[in-house]
Amino acid sequence: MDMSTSPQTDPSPANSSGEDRRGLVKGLLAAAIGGFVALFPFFPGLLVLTSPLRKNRKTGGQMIRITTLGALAGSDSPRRFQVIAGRRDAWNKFSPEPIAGVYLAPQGEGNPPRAFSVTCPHLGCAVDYNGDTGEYQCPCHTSAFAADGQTLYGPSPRGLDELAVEIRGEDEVWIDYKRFEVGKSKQIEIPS
Amino acid sequence: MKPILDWLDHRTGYRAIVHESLYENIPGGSRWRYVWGSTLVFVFFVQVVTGIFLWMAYSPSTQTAWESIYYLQYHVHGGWLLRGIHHYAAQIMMILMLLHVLQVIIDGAYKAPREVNFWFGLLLMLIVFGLGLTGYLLPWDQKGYWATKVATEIAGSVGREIPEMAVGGPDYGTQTLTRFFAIHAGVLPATLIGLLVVHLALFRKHGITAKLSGRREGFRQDFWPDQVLKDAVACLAVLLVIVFLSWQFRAELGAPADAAENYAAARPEWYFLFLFQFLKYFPGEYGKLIGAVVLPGLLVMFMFLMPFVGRSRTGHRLNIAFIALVMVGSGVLTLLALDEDYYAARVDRSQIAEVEAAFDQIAIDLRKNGQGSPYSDKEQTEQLAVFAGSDKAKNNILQDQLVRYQRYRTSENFISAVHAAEVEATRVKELAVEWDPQAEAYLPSIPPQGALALLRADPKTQGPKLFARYCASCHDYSGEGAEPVFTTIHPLAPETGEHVPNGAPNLYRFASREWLAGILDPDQVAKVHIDRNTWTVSDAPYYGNTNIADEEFGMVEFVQTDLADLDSQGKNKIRDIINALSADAKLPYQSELDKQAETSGQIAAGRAAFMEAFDSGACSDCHRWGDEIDDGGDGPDLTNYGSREWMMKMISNPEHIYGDHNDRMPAYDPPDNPSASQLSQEKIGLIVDWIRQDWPSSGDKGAAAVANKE
Repeated sequence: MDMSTSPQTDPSPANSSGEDRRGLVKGLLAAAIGGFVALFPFFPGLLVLTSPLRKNRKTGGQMIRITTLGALAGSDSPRRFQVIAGRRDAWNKFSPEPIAGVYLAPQGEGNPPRAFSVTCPHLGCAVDYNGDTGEYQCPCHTSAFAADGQTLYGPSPRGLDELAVEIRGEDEVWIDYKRFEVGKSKQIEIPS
Repeated sequence: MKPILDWLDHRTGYRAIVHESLYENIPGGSRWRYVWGSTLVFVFFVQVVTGIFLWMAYSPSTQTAWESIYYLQYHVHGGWLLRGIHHYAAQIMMILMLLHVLQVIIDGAYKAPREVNFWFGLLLMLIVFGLGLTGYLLPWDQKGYWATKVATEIAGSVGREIPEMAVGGPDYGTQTLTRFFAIHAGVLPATLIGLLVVHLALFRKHGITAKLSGRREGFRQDFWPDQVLKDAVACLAVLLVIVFLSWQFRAELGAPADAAENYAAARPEWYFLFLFQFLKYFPGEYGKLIGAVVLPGLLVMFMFLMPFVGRSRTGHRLNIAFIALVMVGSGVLTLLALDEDYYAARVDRSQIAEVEAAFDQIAIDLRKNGQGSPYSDKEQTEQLAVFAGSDKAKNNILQDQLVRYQRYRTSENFISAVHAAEVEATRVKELAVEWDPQAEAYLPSIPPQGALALLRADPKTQGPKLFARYCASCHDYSGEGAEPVFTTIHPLAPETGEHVPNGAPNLYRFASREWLAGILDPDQVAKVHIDRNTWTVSDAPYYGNTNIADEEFGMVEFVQTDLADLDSQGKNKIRDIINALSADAKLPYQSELDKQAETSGQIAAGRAAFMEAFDSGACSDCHRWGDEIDDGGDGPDLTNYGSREWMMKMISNPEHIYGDHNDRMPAYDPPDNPSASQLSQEKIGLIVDWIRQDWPSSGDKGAAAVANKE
């Protein structure tokens, strides 16, 4: 380990250009190696940090049973229902429980209801249906939507996201549950 | 560029700072021996960086700590590397710190005017120990849990308040994790950084303790670039070692912590092993106080006084001698600890052959004569003395071997505990994943109660433990392919040597076709081997060792008379009965065979044959078998024989199945008498599922592959 036998730098001015060159090489090497070892610990950390982006996810939604037609009868105004499904969160698997909300808007006798996601397309707050005004209202930035989901006023770039409805069997109401990016004028599905 | 930098320099003066830090003058020039301090700072930097990223993944609570680490290690890209680096860097830090301290003392770098800096160094060392101790608990696995419990109990020898504050109450729990985590990731690193700043500032103030030997008089060099290059190369070497270790020896994660499950394999990290070993020599109430607090405290205190002791040449030598003694002492203690633990792996069994043989003989005598034995109620030493009798030389050999024998046994227990811990750790990782058909992958699927719930509900690992505790004193569980999880010795009763001791059927593959073929075999049904040399009963796979063997007109008599010398037609009948009866058990490992029997009509044939008479009678004369076969006999009800329900009923209360024919099988959970319950239905279910080899994802190669991956 003792370096006394190796060529030593000499402070005499006669040799200064050679010493400068050696010093430059050493400086570059020191900076390169020092930089590498200092940055390396960030490498696995950034791998972990960015791992959600590399997750294998799929679009296409998930069919979920919401309610029965019978439960919707008797009123024309939209009603909020819970979307109940099993889910995974990191290492956990949860048995079915409420994971989101959805509005079902009756379309008159004999027609299936329309389904709207409660997520405001502006910035993701949950909208409420106001029976007095017949509007969906967002509590955050006062976006408002008509009963058919169209934007009435406020900053939302698009109307409420409509979800496909399917009547299964006699009267079971199923929806194709999807989530969409907020803040965009077009619907872009978020894979899950 | 230059005007911007000028502007910046004018506002901050950064050029002077850079110059000051890079152009520190090193008398005698750069040297490799000066790199240790820098590598230590580097490793600490690595710990801070990886620690902050780990922080993003870690969830401190009893239901999530283990789970979050498991998820990081096995299901997140790069997670194993992140954790591995943190894990091994911590250990490398201990080594580097040791080298640094040794160098400082040997070189006398603690002497005036650097005393204060030496003290700061010692404080830093204590903080690093604290980081090691607190970090060991955070994964919340069995190893960290039990080892750290010992550490807090040691603190309890000073006063109960200390562990209660650290632990957040009398018991380990979520509060322990939140507190340890805050200490590990907040309090200690912040303190360390503060002390480190002072340590480095003081170091710059006094300069390096130069080693001028072999250097030209007056030769000097700046810190940049020569020493920086050497430091960088040293840091690179350290980093390579850490990454290599992380890659080749993946950081361990044991089974989740379980306060109810003994863990004989608990050991502190290797750098605390000397203290662990040291404590073995300090018995009594104040032992741990002296061994773990007072003596180490005095040792550290002495180190704080080193600058004063080292003022004279003799004093400096004394300091070196002291630290050398401490090093050698800790080294020896560490080796002793390892040697005691792995003694059985190292020692040849022949070195304890005589004493083992002696204990075998003593055990036989104890079985034969019970309290009448001269060995009864004696310590092993005395037993051997009695055994050797007047043969002094033999006694010497035995007593000499006894020490080895006891060490061997202790070590054997430790090694098997380590093995058992590995089995559980692997198993829980198998249970933690489920096949997800949508994602077409094995995904982590731990219930919100945590992974411990998975392990506790797992027949494969819990079954043998419960069986050993509640069943194995009578029942054997052995055969080709059976895990040797326990040994059952049925000693003959001492009083007469005739009385049949406890000893009930071998339950390995109970109710399977082979098992039934055995119990219906005249040669095997009452088979029993009484060995009067070893005074034991063995090889009694069925009724050979029970009162049922002697029943008049009983099952054994029937098998031995009616089923002896069957013609080929009779043999076919028996085969069909066996296949039909065994299919009732719905054993998972036999399901293919059962299906074939169903389609080939063997089951229907078996049910018919059940009602046909052999010489003296039919099976149905005594046994009920479902609603269709019920002739009112008083033999055991064979409806769904060997099925989960049947076995649950049998263990809960055997008289519900065996009636008056029950020999000595206790009712473990009699439905009409809850106060007599010894086992809950859940636990009985675990035993039953284990005997039936009915456990989730058994032989599921995919799950195992995920668990073993990374």
